[in-house]
Amino acid sequence: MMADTSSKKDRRGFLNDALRTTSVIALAGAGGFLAGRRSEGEPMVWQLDPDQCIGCGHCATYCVLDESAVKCVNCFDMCGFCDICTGYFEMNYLALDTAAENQLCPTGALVRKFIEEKSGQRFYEYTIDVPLCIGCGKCVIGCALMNGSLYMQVEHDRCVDCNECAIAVACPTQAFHRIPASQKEILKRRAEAVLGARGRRMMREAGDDAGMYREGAELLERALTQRRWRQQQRSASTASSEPEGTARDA
Amino acid sequence: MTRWEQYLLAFRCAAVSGVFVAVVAALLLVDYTRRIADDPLNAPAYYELKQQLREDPRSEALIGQFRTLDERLRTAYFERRRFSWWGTWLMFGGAILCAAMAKWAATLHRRLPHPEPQDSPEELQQEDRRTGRWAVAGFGGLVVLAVVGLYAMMPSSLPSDRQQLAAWIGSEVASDAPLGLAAPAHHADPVDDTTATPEPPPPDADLPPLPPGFPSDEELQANWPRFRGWDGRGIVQDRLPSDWQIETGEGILWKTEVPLPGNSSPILWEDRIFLTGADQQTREVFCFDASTGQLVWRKEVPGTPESTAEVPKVMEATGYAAPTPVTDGRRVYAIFANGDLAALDFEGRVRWARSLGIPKNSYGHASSLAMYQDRLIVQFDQGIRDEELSRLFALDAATGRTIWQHVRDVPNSWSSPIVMYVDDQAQIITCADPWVKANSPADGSLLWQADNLRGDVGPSPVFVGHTVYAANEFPGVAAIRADGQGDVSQTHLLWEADLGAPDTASPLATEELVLLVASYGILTCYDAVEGGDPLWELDFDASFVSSPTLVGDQILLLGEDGEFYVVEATTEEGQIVAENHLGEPCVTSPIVSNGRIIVRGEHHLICIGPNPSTTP
Amino acid sequence: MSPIARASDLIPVPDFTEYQVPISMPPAPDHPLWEWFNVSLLLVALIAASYIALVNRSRRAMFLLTVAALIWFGFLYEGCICAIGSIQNVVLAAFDSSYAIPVTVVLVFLLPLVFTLFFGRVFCAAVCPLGAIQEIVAVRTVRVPSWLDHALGLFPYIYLGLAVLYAATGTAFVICRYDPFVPIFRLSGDVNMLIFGGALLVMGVFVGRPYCRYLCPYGAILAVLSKVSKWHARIPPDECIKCRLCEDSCPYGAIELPSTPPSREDRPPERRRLAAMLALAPLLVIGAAGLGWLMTVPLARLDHNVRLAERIHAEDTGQVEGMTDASEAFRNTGQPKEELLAMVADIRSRVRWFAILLGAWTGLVVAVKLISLSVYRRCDEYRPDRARCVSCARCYWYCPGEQVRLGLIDDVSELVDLETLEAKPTS
Repeated sequence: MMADTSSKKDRRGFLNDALRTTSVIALAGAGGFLAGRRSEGEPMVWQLDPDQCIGCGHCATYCVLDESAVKCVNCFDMCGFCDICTGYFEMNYLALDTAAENQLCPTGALVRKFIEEKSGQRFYEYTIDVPLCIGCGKCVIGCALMNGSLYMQVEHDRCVDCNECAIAVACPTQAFHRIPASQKEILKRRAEAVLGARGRRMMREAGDDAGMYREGAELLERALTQRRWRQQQRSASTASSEPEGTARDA
Repeated sequence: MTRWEQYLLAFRCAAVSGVFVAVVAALLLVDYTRRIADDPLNAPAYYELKQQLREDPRSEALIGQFRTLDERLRTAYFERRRFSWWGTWLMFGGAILCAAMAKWAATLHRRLPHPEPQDSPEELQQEDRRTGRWAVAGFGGLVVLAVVGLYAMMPSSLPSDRQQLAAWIGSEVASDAPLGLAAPAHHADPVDDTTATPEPPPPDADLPPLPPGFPSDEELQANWPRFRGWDGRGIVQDRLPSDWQIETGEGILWKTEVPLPGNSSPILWEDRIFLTGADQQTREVFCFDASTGQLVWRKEVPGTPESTAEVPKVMEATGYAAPTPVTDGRRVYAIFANGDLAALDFEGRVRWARSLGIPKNSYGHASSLAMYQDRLIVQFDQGIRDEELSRLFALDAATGRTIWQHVRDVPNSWSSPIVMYVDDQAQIITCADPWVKANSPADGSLLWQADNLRGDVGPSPVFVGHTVYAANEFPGVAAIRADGQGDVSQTHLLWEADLGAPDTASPLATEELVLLVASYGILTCYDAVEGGDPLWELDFDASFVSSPTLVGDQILLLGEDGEFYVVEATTEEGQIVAENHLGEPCVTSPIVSNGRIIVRGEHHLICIGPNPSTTP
Repeated sequence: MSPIARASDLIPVPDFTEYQVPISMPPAPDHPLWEWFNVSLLLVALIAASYIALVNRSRRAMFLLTVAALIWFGFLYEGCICAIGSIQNVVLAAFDSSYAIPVTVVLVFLLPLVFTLFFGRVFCAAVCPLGAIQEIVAVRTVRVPSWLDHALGLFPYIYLGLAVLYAATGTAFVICRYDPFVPIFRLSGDVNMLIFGGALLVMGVFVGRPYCRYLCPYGAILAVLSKVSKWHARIPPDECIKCRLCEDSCPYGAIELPSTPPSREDRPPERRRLAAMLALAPLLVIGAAGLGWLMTVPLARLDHNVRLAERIHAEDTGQVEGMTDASEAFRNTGQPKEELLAMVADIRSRVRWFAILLGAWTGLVVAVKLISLSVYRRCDEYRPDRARCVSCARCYWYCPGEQVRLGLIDDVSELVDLETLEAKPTS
């Protein structure tokens, strides 16, 4: 009887050992497979593609943070510095001033600053008062009528990097993507072009100014990063649609 | 303090903090529902007052009232945010206290085991297994119920199966339109299809007959019969004039005012220059003398009832005469924003005229005309892709009758067709979202198509040898081998690139280089064979809409504000070798012929070149 | 010429005399080393928890570790990314080659699994912040009827299957979407989930670890792995005297009572039942797979494009008025409806296979449970049920042997009447 139980125990122990060893090997294999597959060991963060953004305002309401991590930014190299800024002013403003009845921004987060007057035109700089911005996208829609230099971005000093972004779930155009943390942003295609051009220009005009040359190179790299990312997106989407294509032909 | 007293203290603390947490939570919830119900930033009072203010903008009292309300609402918004912030932290603190006290109380008042007599463990176990099995069975039953319930409650209005869906789409659209599922069913309509495009009246028999047939390639090459030169590639063996100045008139042969605005480019046949111009009411063709610049004749193109019923909606920057005319040395053919098409002889007599109907075009129709032998090729893209309104027409040059028309599954576009040859087989290449298409000029049948374009397609395609280069702002430039069949997107794409992609100007391609002129002032050069990263880029302080022209080995670029650049390009670098300016804005492409440049500015037709009397 | 004045419609940046056009820079995310730091902390915490559960056997140390884990992995690290959610990242990475999974996430997924294979569910005991917050509030627990425990205990497996289905099809990360405690760690979030989390915590005062036992999909994996763990927490430090003192000590009902299989004369009906259950198993799996197939359409509805297509269709056929943001944006792209419908067909056909698998999986889970409830095993001592025990170290203190080990008493007889094996009243 005793011998019977102990042999049973041995059998169970042996079975357990075998199962455990198999599991460890399987886990190691899975880990190796996943690590070796594509990973660069870099964390991913959420970012929205401003070219897909329609300014619906979900960013202001769906973020898990009370004060949304998505805020507006201005790409100054795309900005016209207009006196009559359609991102700043209501559609039927009464006067071109900073009065409440003329402003589009519900929290007054867009700051208008006079720069200079040239051949009868007055130019203004528009910056975002970040703590006031709630990410409602009203100015983004307004600016889209003109240059579209105002656009939304996830601010990564605020974003808590949810594994599944609540705004991404709600986004009507599926504009949210996971990007490598070091990339930080997704530029508009046009912003990518103008910033790249500016970077090149700075590098060319830098001469002996090493600081300016470096700044230019950084700017160019920033634009090129965007281009690489977009290419990657495209090849990924064609790769995923390829099997469908063959299925279609069949 | 005794143990019991400690326990009481802990228990009471836990209870009090628990109640506190519950109260704060309730308050926060109430505040939240209130925040949803009346968001200060979307208060109805705000919009009401704003509306009143719009109706009575001068009222100081209203303005004051509005500003006070606005400030109050903004303050309220941020105060509520602060309220929930504080509430959350209070609740958090209370919860920690509550948990700690409850834990302490539980530790002080630990329930000690006092096992009671029990049934035999075996029976207990059996009972546990028995009830367990029933419970699991019940759980399974619930799952089944849930599944069936979900299935019944959530029917889809769309068929679930792929085959069903394909069949269903077919019945839904009730046409043989391309579905994205089946192979696209492109077809050339029969000749007598006259839907929406009434045939032109028969030509006037009293007019003197014109020579039959069509010009040879040599004749075409000697002239500038269409947009961007004889074959539409913007390449000509010639030389550019130097040393000219618009202000002083030095090196300017002539400069003539154009009577009507238009963004079409001039064309040239022997000593005649043809040009179109239009405004909302009138559409005219002009003929200038190439050597003196004098207006020889101008002729208004008669409208048809359907094309003049309303003024087409166009953007100011496009205008009513954006398409460049085309000529075969016998007639000149012109098309306008309202879909009016006319053929005039060289004396300015209308040989035939017809209307293709006012196109649904968001910027205004702009595709230039092309010719294949004695056929007039019209790319007439309009509407959105679903509507299938877009057509490619081949018209009989002599009568204007439709020889064939091809239904295009594309939305409106602004690109112009070109004709190229692959192994003696002529192909009409057209660009629109998303296809680069090649049609046979013989019967209009689709030879191949490549999915390479997105959005509003403005630039026209070019070709070198058997390679087509198609570019657009999105997604960029693509080099496609033109010897394919069917959908060649995956198979015949040689390379693609996106840096410096143009949104309006057409590319310039040679055996070695492909040059793109982006509107934001960058000339980007790619290796024509390899593609890859740009070989070089050149920045201009100008905006480019006009397409580049290769003259000999020099590239002529015209900026939107009349900037004039001559660039020499190698695989190594691009270099600006000359700069000048036209003195007026320019969005058209020039003619370069016999050392002269003939270009249309905003107001003038300008001929730049050496005076024939001084240079023999 | 095709003069579409797109670029020329843009107003150029003016030529300023002095003003330098600024360049706006995006703020930088956390440094990548931050994630590695957290992974190393996870490793340290796992080692500490294993040591405490198996060697040190101190409930107090385990509790302190639990509090530390809650503060760090919960409130400071804000709960993301956690091992539970990482299931989905791993699955997505396995099915979608374009998704690059960070090595740190793979480690967050694997480390607790490996530790479980060797030491039992020590991760649940004091490392997982979701477990920790429930562990701390579990002060007055009552015993859940064991039949209910058997039934509800199946749910995590189904939830796991659902999460895998949605992650594999790239539709959603449901575990994260319906995570009750991460909003609490962040002190903000979706109000419904905050209420759900609060309710679970209040419930957790009386029903120990409701999320871990009846929802957690990662716990389901750990439960399976824990069955074959090399070492596992034991209640008595040495031999069990079956004094029954620990019987009620587990707030999670994870203590197995000693028992012997039914006597020989009772065997035939038991054996018949087992045979019946074994025969039933394949039927269950196949039937449930069929039910899974039925679920294709409802399951696929979580996908954005499917909902969009249904909305567009409803708009086109006049079933609903007006447009949503999504349908309007779609119409503005000019993409033909047919393409969207084709996409829906693709999504559905992908979901269909996973739905069938999910059904089969559910059937398998139920079948295995039924079989295990029909098998009687010999058990000689009071011991933790390896699948359910989270190694929280609560029960140790109740064991007279442990009291001896700690030097609190000299001999077990001080607590237990060894002759009759009746516990003496303790003070």
